[in-house]
Amino acid sequence: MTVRVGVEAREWHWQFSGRPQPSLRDLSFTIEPGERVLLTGPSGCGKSTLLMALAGVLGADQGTDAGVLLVNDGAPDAGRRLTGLVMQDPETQVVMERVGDDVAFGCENFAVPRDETWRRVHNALASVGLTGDGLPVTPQTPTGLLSGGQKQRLALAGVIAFEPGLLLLDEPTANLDPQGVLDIIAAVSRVASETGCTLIVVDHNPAPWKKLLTRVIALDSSGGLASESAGYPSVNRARVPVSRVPGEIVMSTVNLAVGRPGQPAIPVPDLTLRAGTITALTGINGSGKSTLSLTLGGLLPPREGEIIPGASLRHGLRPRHVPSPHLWPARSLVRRVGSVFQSPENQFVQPTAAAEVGLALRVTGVNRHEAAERVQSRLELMGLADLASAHPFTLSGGQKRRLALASATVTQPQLVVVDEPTFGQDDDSWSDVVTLLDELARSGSAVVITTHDPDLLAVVDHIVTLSPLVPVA
Amino acid sequence: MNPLAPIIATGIVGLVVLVSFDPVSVAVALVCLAIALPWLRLPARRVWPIVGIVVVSATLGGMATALYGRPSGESLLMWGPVHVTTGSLDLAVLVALRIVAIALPGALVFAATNLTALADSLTQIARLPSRFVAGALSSLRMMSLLADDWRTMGYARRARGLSTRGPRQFAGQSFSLFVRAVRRGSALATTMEARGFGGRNERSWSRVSVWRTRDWLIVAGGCLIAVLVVGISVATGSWEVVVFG
Repeated sequence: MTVRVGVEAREWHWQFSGRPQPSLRDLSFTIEPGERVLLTGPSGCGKSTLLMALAGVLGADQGTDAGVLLVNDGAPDAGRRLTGLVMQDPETQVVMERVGDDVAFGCENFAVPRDETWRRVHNALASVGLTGDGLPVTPQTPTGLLSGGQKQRLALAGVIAFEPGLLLLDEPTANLDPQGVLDIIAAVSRVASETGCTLIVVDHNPAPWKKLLTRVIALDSSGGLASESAGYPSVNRARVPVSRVPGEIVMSTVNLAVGRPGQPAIPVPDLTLRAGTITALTGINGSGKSTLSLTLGGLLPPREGEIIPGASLRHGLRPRHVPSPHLWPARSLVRRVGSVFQSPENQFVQPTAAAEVGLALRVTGVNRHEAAERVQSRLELMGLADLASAHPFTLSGGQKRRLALASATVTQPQLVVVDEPTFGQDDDSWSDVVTLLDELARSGSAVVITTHDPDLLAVVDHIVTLSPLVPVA
Repeated sequence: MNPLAPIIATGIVGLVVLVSFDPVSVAVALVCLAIALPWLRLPARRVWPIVGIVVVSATLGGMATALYGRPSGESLLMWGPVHVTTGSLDLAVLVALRIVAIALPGALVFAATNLTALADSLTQIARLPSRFVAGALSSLRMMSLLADDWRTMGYARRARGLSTRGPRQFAGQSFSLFVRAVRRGSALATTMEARGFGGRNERSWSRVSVWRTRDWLIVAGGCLIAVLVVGISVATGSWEVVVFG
């Protein structure tokens, strides 16, 4: 039996230790049990922080609060067992070794009887579209073999299975293919109507949630409440014109198959990547988009077939290195190719945002004065100028992605490979990201992105769909 | 087979070998290990690396004894603090074999164990506190992710134009691995809390761990080996107990 849960904030503040300003300030609102709320606000305004506070997982060691925040009239950490939270990064939300056990973990903690647990596990997995007819994943599949999007579905299944009274979802559809978005929203709707749980959702793509979410709470960029009048947000993204001129071939592939170490090889269509164009890789979760990105970026060896660098990319390489980008020395690689990973946190190697952006310039021997200027202009372009001295790990999800993009492209590489560039971006930062990709293409780079974002797909030159269905286990 | 059974069995044998200090008991234990090995159903490609690691560490332990052990018998080599004698050589071989006989069965059994099943067994059969066991299980699972993390960090350094070879790079990457492990650990703890883990509330088990007759037989087998080790050693008159201090 699901407990009905209400939320109340009275002049609540939160400040992370080491930050000069509070992340959230003067928050006062009441959410009645059973209400379904969309939480919006610009990238980096503290939406994730508020969800974590409500879930009772913001520790006193991470910062200080003031005012009152109540979950069912108690402190959030006392109400932790009423609350289910799905966080932003699906990579960190896998607890167990096998898919079924992972979903069962939450039920076990709530002392759900065994038969009931497995009934719920199977229902939850099917309702998030992770298992079912024709799908390669089963409850026995090792969690380590799932793709990012599949892990995101798994994280949601693990939370809806224990039927929490307060369901907190942070960007639950960000990594998903279009069918996945519909699956997830249908699954959440069903849980909400069956259990009457209270629902708070953060999603930069709010349109598909409109039927379900009946109230909007908007934060402003300084972490306070924005004026109430806003209404349900509609996406308003600046369009860039698609009138780019294709240039020479930067890279092409023939009969390529890609795969991570220890995993099956996935054949991919032949690609021709030309200077001055943006190519989008799309396809359902688990179809190999991220693996192909790493391979094109010279980080994974191709499993079969060939990657052929064009004349300008080859220029200056030793003959024995030419055949495939994974053979190139790191310094040659960073001059030619800029890669942004699916989890940008994985690629940060410096202690500040500015050093992160400046690294490639330092490695390639750009003089210090010019480097500082280019770092500054990149940070400004990505709306990160105020955060130049912040540690990359302390940024929000959307900011991390923009920082990764800025640092991978600061050398103007001829090939730019970006995994999910618009993840976690609000309308303004979405436009900044798309503008940067467009500028890179116009200045002669070949840009490859993976995405499910329909607005982004509308402004690329080529769309390549990867077809899936290599059994996972 | 309940994963706890072979662990208890090797524990009993290991304890006896630890206490004994003579070549016969070690030899009997090693022969029994070789006979019991096929029941673990470990593929050879997983057995050999473990054997390799244990043998290398045993050799190092033996070498230290040969060079610096208590001198006795004929002197073979003297050089500073190094004094190799026939007595210290005998001792070295014994020490090396003891390391193999104690460490190898444990390492092999652990490699053959499904951690999830072991955790189920520890909470349901051994009745250990489930909070403690589930916490330990998830941290052990994290250990297996370190190899992936290391590879991902290699990709990151390479993508950013940093070399991935050389001692300084290795040191830098090792430190990042440490930072990453800590971050991963705290993120995992948050995830587990967010799924209702922690507190004193009652917990249920979604998987049943059963203890069957054959599990008793495995433990009995361990006891039998222990009896054989002591019995044969005493019967041949070579039984000796390790002297501490």
